[in-house]
Amino acid sequence: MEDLLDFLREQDIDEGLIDGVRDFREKYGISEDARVPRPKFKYYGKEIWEKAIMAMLTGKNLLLTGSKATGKNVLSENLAALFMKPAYYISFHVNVDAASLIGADTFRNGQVEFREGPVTRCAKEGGFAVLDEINMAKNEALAVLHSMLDYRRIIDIPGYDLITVRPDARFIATMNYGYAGTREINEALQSRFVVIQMPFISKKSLAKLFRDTFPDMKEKYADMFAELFYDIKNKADHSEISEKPLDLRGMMDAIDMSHSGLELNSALDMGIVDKSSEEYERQIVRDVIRSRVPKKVTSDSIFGR
Amino acid sequence: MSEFGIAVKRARNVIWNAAGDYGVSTAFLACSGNDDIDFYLNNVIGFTYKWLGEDNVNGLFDRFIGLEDQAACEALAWCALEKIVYSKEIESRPALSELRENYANEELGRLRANVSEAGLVLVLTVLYKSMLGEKKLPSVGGRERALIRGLNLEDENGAPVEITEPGVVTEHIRRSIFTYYRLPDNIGIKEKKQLKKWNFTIWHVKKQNAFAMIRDPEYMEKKAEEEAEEKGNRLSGLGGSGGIFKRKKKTEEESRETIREYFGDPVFSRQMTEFYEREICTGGHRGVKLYFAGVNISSDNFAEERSRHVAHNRNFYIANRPRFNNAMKRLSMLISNAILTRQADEFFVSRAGSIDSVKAWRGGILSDEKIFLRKDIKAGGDLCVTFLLDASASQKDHQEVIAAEAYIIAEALRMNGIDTQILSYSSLEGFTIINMLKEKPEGTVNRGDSKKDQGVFGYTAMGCSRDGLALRAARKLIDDRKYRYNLMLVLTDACPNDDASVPYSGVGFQARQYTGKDAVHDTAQEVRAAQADDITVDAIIFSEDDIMSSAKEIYGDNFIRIHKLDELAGAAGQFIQSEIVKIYDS
Repeated sequence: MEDLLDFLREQDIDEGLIDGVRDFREKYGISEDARVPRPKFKYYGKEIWEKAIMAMLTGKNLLLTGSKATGKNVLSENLAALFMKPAYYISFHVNVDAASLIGADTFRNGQVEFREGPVTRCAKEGGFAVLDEINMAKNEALAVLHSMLDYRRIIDIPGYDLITVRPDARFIATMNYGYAGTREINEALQSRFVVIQMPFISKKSLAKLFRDTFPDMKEKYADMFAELFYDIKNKADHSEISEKPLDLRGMMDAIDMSHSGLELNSALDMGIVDKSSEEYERQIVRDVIRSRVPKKVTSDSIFGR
Repeated sequence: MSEFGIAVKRARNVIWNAAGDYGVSTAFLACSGNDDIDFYLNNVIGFTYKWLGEDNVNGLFDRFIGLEDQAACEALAWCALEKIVYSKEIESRPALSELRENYANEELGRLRANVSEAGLVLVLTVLYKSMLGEKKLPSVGGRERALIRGLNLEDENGAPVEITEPGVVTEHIRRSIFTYYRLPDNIGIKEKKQLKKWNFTIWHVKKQNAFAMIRDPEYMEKKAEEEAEEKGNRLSGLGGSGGIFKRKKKTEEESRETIREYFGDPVFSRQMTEFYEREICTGGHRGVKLYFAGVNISSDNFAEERSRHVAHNRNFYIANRPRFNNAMKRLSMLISNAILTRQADEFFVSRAGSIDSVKAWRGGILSDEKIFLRKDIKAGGDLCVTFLLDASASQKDHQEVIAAEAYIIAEALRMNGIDTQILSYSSLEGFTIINMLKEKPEGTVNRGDSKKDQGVFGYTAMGCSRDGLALRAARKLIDDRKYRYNLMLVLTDACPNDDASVPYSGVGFQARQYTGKDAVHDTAQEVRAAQADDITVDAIIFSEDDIMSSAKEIYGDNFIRIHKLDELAGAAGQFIQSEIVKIYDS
């Protein structure tokens, strides 16, 4: 996928790392599997890219931590696409157990068979597993991953084979903390990962993201949306509002609806303002929008049509 | 001020957003009397602080206070500032041109209704019409022309004057206005009147519901307090006690009486207090007296001082309520989440119960009986949190923040059904005062009563801190028969010191005061004693000094250091979460 390598060059990623990615592809082959992602969004952030690529090249397990909309899943998907490996997405929740990760017995064709779970398949096929919200599962359920994630790189399934994890398989976990249902992961598990604290996307990168997603957006308005998002972030950081309206996906949805013809302020109401449950907070957020976004602005003036 | 309450909060939010600085202390707000705000004007106020700086802006307007033409001077200054900041912000804020146009039209409409002060009205008309981009402007006389040029940062020929330094800009504006009103340059500095509370400056009163540019009440209160402090009316003196507690030798009864006059009647009877003294004031604390205060204010000499203090703490909370409410919700959610994730119903594989459809086939094929799930509800913990606050003079400058943070913690715990008691401690004149700001509920009485949490606004910092003795006293107040789990959170500077009263050891010239290594060692021993009693002791340390070694000696690994007091509730939340995890996993 040359465009991602080109993208990395635009991001001024170290050439040595880019060569490393090429060598990795040559050594382990490129997958044609439908699971190889074709990302809709690219991750912006030179420093984070370099850390993540190095972790993948050196065979490390990677834990991405950060609040919502810092690009954890975007980066995970981009990494699988960059290395041209099939991605296995595993969403963790409180009822996740060994069976849902590794696999369990099932009855098929008149006999008991072992149905492989996503982690086992990824390990055997050399894919990139994305362990999403890993800290929502109970620690006891995650203990089954320990032997796979450390130097042993094996999965020992009782009553079945010892599975050796392929050398090109990688495990990327994402973690949010503080939201309902999340907990601390235990140290034994955490020590098996190298960790990247995902920063908030910079204003400049955010404007770029908007223009990349909506190529006909005028630069002035891309900057305006980036400034608006940061105004809301500042308010949430200073606890004047909750984090509910601080929603990058919501902002993207609002711009998308505006692109399709909905008046921008109405679109922002749906994507941002009405995410708050309190009227006072909605008023505060509307004030922030009103200080940047003209009352009547047409799609044509934003998108240069 | 109640009619401006909600409008004030909203206006501040607009200003902070425009300034890009949530710590800026604004002198002005633009509000109306019916809970509405002047949206554009509040943005202008914020932009002004952003581009010209708090000191320069507040300094400019402070020069107008007390002048006969104060309202006019302020109106003119705002017009000048508006022009400057509009040009700086319009590029990144396409909304501003529309807002400015609406604002200028509304102001022109109001001006036409006013026929007095013709000169001022003419100048303002020219300025507002300029905002609208009108080329045809009314003719003005020489003085008015000079004023307009000065406010527009133009020279006598109408050419722009290059001024980039913010302080020079505000000074230029001031001089232009003073020149117009023929005021000497040094007026406003020497002849400033005493500021009063709620000193509103209203310069648009033509219509009902017109927006008023008012002085921010918080800013005015701060100025009034600064004025009072200069005159020595604030608490000052020994450990911040305003001279109430003096160094002169007093008898024990005189000291007790002074403490009672300030803190109110003791919670326990004399006999009970003496019982506690016999139990607690031993070893290095022999001879120290105890005073257990409550939240009731006495009706004696220092009642007014104390009431004012409590009101100040409460008003600080109210003025920042949205921010504190958000922090409280976050902390409550954190605690609730910790309980819920541990309290989840556990399902066990069993030979009876609800059938597990995934495993059902095993029953028929493998004759496996364990294909059922049984619910097993985990019993909840029984936890009380005691929050022990250092109330020595080292916390004097942060009293209102500590009170607010303690209230947040108490409320968040109450919302989750966890009992709390909040105590503060300080040492004065041979007494260690344990102020019971919030007591544990008695059975189900008072449980869930949020009014009980408001006692924390009585938090007062003065005197020294005999930490070891305070820990020992707090341990006594923890009724460990009632709760299975007890968590003590201590807010401290990890610097126990009571060098002004009863020595820790020795007599006469060989007496060693309760300070340094002795005090640290004593406090550490008390922490171990509490732990031996199955009380978890964690500390939240706030200090600018190098206290790591004493903190480690006293609390081991069980402390968090915070650098800002508004991190207090978050730090407490972490410890409370850990305790809950420990309880449910045990």
